[in-house]
Amino acid sequence: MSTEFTDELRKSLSDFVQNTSDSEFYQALKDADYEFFSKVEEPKYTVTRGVSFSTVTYAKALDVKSLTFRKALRAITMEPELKGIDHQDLALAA
Amino acid sequence: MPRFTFRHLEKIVPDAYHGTLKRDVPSILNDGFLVSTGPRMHLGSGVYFFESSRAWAEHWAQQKVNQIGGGLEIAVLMAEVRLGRCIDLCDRDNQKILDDFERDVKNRIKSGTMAGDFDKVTAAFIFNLAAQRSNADSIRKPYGPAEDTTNRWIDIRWSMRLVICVRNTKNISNIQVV
Repeated sequence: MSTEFTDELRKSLSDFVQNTSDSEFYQALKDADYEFFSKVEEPKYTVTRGVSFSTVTYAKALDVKSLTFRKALRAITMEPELKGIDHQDLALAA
Repeated sequence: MPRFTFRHLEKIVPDAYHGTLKRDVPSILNDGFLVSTGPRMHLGSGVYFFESSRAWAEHWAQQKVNQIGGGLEIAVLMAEVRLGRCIDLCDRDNQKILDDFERDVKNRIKSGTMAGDFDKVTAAFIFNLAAQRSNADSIRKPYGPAEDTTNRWIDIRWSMRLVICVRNTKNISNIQVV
């Protein structure tokens, strides 16, 4: 590959981490797309009683940022009708 | 022993394959590719290709159809991709730069005042951020077991493939159905 770009890549990334103010740094992180902070979306799964769901969609609906698929699956399996699940329930499921 | 470096090397992949739905082919051929974005894009925003493997593109498209359902037909497109300013993770130097970048970003987040909001950084996010900061045209990444190829312990059944995420769609040309 081009050594010129490799040198530039090294410098630009290093400068970004070391030489930006906090506000610039966090703004750049936001600009790089919040969605990538989420775990990569899993395909839809069907669990008990034919409930079909997308883990990330479900997690977002509950405003839970760090929910993993396994935790969501366990939570939903405990409460297949998707009723009465709140943050406390999810914490217990985890 | 002399060391040769290529400061301005321009690499072109003549046979990059893209799996898609047959219904989307006319718009791609007429209007070009649209950059995909969102949490499913494991190398960040871009148009995804398998380098030199029609079979991987077909396999990917078929998997997508299986998820969607509805009996949709698949298609495979071949294109010429100019890698341009490429974060090439086949290259050890680039790999090291990205490794260091991920570590440094996470460390700065941890030591910052907003740690709670930024403690779920994924590799996809790091790729996307690195490409944005360096104004990269593409990211090229091998997928498969991270074995030492100097070791004799290599299995022919391992699923190796090269994926190119093209961020600058001007670098895609000669698109054709194959």
